[in-house]
Amino acid sequence: MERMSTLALNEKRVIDKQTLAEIYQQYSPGLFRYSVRLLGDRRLAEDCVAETFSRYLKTLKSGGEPPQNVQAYLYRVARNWITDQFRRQPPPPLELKEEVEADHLANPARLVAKQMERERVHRALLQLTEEQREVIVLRFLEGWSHEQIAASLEKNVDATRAAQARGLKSLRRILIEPEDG
Amino acid sequence: MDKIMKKSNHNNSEIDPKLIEMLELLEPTLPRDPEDAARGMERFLMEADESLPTQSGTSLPWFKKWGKKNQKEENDMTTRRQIFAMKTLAMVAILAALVFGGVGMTALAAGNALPGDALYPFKTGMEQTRLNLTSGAAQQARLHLEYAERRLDELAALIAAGRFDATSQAAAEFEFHIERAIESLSKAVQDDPVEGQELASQIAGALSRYAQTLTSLHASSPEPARPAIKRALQAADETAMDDRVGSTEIEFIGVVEAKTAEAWTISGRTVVIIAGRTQIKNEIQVGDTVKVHALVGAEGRLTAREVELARGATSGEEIEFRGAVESMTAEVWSIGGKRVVVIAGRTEIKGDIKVGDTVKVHALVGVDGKLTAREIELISQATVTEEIEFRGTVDAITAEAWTIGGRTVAVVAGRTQVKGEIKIGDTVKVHALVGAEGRLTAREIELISPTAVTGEIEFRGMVEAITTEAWTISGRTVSVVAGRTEIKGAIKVGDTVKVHALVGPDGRLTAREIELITPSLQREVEVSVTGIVLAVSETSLTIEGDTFRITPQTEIRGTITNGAWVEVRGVRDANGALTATRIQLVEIESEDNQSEVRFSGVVEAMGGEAWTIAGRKVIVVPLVTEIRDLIRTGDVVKVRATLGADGVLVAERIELDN
Repeated sequence: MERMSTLALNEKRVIDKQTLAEIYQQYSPGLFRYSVRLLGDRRLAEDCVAETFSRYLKTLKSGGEPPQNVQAYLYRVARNWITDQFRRQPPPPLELKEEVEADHLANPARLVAKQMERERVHRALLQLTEEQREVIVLRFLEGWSHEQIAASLEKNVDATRAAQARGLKSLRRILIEPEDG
Repeated sequence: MDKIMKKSNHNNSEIDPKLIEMLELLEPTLPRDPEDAARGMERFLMEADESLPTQSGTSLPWFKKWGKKNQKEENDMTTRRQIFAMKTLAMVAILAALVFGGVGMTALAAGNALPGDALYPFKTGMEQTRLNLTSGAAQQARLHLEYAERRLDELAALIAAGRFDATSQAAAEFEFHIERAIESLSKAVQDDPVEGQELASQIAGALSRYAQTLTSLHASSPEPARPAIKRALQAADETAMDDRVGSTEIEFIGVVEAKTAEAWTISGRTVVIIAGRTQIKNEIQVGDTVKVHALVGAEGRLTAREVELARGATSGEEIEFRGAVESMTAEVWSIGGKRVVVIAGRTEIKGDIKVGDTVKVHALVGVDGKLTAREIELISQATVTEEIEFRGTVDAITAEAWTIGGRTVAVVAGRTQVKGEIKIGDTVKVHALVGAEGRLTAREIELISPTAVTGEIEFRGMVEAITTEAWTISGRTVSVVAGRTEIKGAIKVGDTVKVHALVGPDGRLTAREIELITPSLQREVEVSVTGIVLAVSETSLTIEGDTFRITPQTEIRGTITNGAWVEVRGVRDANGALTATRIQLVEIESEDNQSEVRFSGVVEAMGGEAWTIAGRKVIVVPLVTEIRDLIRTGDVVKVRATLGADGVLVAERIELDN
């Protein structure tokens, strides 16, 4: 993941169309996955990806130094966009479709139950602080290292470790303790 | 769970496995639509087009810096390539401006680019992006096929333009894409064997189509273009031999009638021979009876996997018989109702023989009963007769006329005597009167032997023509007989079907079963969605955001109303439009047609009997619904509800979720 930013931006210092295309190819699938997971809506997620890359172009165009860590930069922009989106309107329910497509022969009631459980986890995630949520999603669903997360959040690694611990504790409290008790 | 653990490399003891299991629920995300992804990239690059090149002198200081640095290091090869890249980029913008009256149309312009063109790398780059963004091996395989086909179009365009130097690139990329299609196929088969099988058949069809295109291109192209075409053709043929491709293999015995380096004719069938891939087990000459194992492409194209001398094929058995010559082609004569193979150089023909003459035949009997003439001798020349006798297979039966061995014979009640229970496919002896203009009227039709079924084959192919008596499937004619042929699915011309057919003694095929495999060219994709009806009218149904068209052919089971829980089956056409083929109310499986669901969520609205909790409408009924706490909008609550067969949730208990 680091290859692109080093090669394209630090050594060559050239962003031509081919490089832009490669950047898009490299990061847009992950950004889409990341946004759709938080937004629960494909159209919104596509909007988020489009806005994020558009912002990136504007940054390049504005004449400043191009962002050194493209990945950290793009996820930061996407995250801000999603936060704004949540401010404008509360998160919509997750789409049911994927589950249904995956196994349309299964009992619909069971599908609904699974979908609801998923929604419950999703909502629990949304109850965390923004920082905790970021760390949990990037770490456990996107498989990032603490160093990568720290770069994207513009924090140090200790802070992201702490956020992870606090986030997991909250999730446990929301999701598991009511069941046990 | 393993996946998440691997991803995070996290210390197991620190995290509750139950929590991991829950987080895992979020791991699968809604898949990205590859079209959306490709459009997104296109839009991004257009936006880049609009801002970057025009701004390069002023607003991008880092860009300018690079330019200065570049002047100092002119000998640096890397930098030179960069200059070239920038020049190309500028040229692209100018070209687009000239051709389309504006910048930002690169993607459109690149669509027609050919290998060697400045825009060509952009075109293949876009393709690669689309591939990268496409999830699902089957979908990737289809894209590779699409791109392979594009390479063929480009190859033809290059040849037409006389640009032979770039043909090898197109051929190499063609080869690359079909190889990748096969690789994706292997994965697709593991993911979903049923879809994999369909895909395999599609690939077989495509390869055979490519081979045909390339063969005719080879014939019509000048010499300098041929090596590239030959390479592509070889790639298509070799890939078709791949075990993974959905070819059906058949085995048959026949006489070698002709041989070239690329194809042999064996008992009238053309069989492709590929050096190094086709195993030829003995020294085989024209006239030999051989056993062939061949792969049947979707278009009926046969590619030999193995050819060997049929053991005891002729075994010295020779018969002699007399009969009237009924028909003569270069390879096969019909004599006294028997088909006799005639091979130049091996069959001795004594006398000037014409149709209608009576001859004496010495023929070798093949293991498959096939006769190969060693000698045909004229006995007596045809005389004008009032009555003829011939044998043949009944091809068709109507009230007025039968078709027997390709001839039409009028059948007249009271004058034609039909002996035996005769059906299509049976071999009969006919005594017929020859009328004016050779018109035949049967005096007697006698059953000689009922359809001697010699085997059953299965093959896949595309339906090319449909008539009441026979279908043409990938070039083969298959008889269809009411009551004997089972037709599964609404099949139309262009669809891919699987055929189980009985092979008659003369090689004639009679369909036992024809089954729809894929509707024409996969332009229509079958979809199945289960969900709650959001809107329904006489002509359309909206469910979970998808709107299906309802046609008079749509089968509707049950009364469909808004809010009902239904399963919709239908097809998505090339434009993405959905048409329902069947709409069915879903039965909720439980004792009293209700099933219990529990969920938590935020109370979004509370209005009388209908609350909205976590985006879901929940009916709250006094005395039925137990409301445990004082609940306000915005609270997080736990809900226990029953889901009725109509998809409506009725709350049984709502309590604050602390």
